[in-house]
Amino acid sequence: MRNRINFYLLEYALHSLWRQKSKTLFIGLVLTLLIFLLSALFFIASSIKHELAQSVDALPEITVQKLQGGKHTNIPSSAVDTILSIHGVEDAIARVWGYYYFQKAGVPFVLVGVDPFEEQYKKSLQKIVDNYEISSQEQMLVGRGVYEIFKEHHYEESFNFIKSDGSLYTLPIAGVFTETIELESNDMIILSKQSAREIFAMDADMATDIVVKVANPEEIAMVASKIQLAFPDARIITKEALQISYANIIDYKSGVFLSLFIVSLFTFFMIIYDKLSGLSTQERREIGILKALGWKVELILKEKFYEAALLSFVSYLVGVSVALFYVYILHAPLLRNIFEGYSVLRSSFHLPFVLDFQTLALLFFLSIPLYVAASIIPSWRVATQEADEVMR
Amino acid sequence: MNKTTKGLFLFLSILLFVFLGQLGYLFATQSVTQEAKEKKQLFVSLTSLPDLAIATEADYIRHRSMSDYFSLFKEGPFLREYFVSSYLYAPSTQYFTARSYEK
Amino acid sequence: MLLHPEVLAILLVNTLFFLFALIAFVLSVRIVLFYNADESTSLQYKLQKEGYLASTIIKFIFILKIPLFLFFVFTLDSLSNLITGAMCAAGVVDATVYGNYLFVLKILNLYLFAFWLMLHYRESKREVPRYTKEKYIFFLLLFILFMIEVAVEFLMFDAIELDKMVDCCGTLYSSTSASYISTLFHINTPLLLGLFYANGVLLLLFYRLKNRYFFALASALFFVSALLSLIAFFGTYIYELPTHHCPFCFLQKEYYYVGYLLYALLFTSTFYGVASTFTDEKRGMQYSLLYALIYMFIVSAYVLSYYFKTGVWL
Repeated sequence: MRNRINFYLLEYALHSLWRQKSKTLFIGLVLTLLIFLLSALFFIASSIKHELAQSVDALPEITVQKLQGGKHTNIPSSAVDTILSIHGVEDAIARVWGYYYFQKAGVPFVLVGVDPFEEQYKKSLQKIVDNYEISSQEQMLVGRGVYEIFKEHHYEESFNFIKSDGSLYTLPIAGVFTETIELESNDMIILSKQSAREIFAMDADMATDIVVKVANPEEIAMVASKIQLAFPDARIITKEALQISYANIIDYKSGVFLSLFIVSLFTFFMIIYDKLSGLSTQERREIGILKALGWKVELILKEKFYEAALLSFVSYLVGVSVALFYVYILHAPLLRNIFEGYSVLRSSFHLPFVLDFQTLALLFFLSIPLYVAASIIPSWRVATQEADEVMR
Repeated sequence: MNKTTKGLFLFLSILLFVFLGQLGYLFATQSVTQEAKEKKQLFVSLTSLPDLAIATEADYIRHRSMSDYFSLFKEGPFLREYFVSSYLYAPSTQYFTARSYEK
Repeated sequence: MLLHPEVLAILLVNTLFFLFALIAFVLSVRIVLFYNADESTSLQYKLQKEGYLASTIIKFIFILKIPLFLFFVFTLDSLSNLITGAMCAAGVVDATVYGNYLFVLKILNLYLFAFWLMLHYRESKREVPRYTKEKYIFFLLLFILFMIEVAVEFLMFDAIELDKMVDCCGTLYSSTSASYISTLFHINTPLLLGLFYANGVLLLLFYRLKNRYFFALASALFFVSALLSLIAFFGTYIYELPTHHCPFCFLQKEYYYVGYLLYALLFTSTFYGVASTFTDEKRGMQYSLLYALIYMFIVSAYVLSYYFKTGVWL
């Protein structure tokens, strides 16, 4: 059982690979490319998941949305009082938020109304907003992407929203969110609830939805079912459902991607099998000489295994290294289009790096067993050839 | 050990070094610091909205985890998912079944 | 659940194993049917060559099975974040009817594969192989078990539903629940601990006496008593919680993945211990004893360090 690594054999395997440069290079390149493509996708996915997980604690426990005919509509603010009367509810806030389509650029912004900026509020805001100018009049804070679009259309200081009656509503830009939170804030505009209602033409006693804070996590399910009883037409989203959705967001679809990718993995398997089966006379003679020198079949098999392991190890290292560089330093050009789709407003895609051993292990199991398996039968064919037959 | 062996082993160790070095470099410079995490949480608690601003072309994709499979019917009853990103971002299957909060 | 990337990767590797094990199975059947060491026909010659292929395939499967098993446990752990109610792998294992059987089967198969390779290694050292046929009959049985494992694994991942509530380890391994595991907590702790340490002493004793059959028996018993005492007693000290009896939670990051170390020590110790029946080498017993002692040292250290930190026993 004690399989120690035989360094002479390792050296021999290295040389053997070196002697068949073109073959090694071809197989190595294909394998590297395969690993690179897979790892780039999984790195992006794991980074997005990680980024989402960072902020999930800060989300409210329950969101209540009113549905009408399956469509989300405004909910009367008075529902807040009903919800507050439920035991276990710590706080309920009527939210005003929505999308504003900026026609000239073809970009939808997310407008979020918050309560009037209070003193302590402003202090914490200063941490996330660059060059924040405090003033008492109505103003807005914008994400970096929004600010870029504004500048392109010469709205450097303020922006004119078009209200539903066609009149203009001007808001000065008070600051831009810092780069650190770009992934969260890129297309966001934060303004007062009053301004948001003005732009959306919403009545003062209506809200977009209601968020509920529950202090005890054990009670969330109970509170959620009570709210559902009180408002049968409401869609109730618990934080747990959000968390699962977060995990699903990428997992499910990268699973679909992977299941399609399996086709190319098997194609790869075939190519390797074919390539390794075709032995040159040079190789045949080599094996013949080894056997004539008294090498046992097991030893030759072991040497072939070393070759496969070395080649796949090198390909793994190169593939993963290049993918790391591609995703985290070049910010995944081309591949990011899959994630961004047709969005006009693009973030710079500065994904946070996560040292995720699970992803590395996943990549290992998707590539190396396949290659080693493909090399088993050809190696065995080689190793069991008769010395006299080959050298004749 | 002859020259080729030395060269090949050197090549291998350089590869290993580059790999580990890159992991270390990225870990040191690009992972999320405590400060950045606090900033993100501050912003999210301010808006209390989920999801990242990566795919922004339509509302049911922007806040994907708050929409459901039927959200896209708002755009028209015959519309299928045709955005590239709606292929990648699955909505949760959770909350239009009441099961998630029934114990 | 089949479309989760980690699950897909496991299934992909399993498919690969299935195809290759099938080849090895066909070859083994041929060897079992036709092998005869006394003849020297070209068929016998061919069979001998095919034996090399079969054993290479088995070696390949075993070498990958070990890291794949770790990855499997790791995946179950990470799936627990997705499944409502599950807090660690215990919940996921319990989410379907297959989970527990699969786990037992996986561990059993790992042992059997390792024993097969041990046997094979000793055979190939011999001048004239004696047990070639027996070796491959053993593999035929192993193949059936392995196929069951692959099938059950597929069924389990297929059956896991994301929006179904499962129990968390707190209820699965609590002394109040009516599960068969809870009967374990009715055995009193001093008895269990006594058994565990007595077993350790037995190991030492049989090692000194150089009786490898008794040593193997003691080693197998040690495995059982170690697992039971880990769930019932030592686990609570790792968690520093008197009510938490989960055998999976300490595989998580919060406990510095100590579970992987503990289980690895326990498994290798038992493997070498039981395998020492096959060989007359002393090395196996030495390894077995060493790993068992390290295991005992670590779990005891948890208890003692808790006592020194807080001054009370749990």
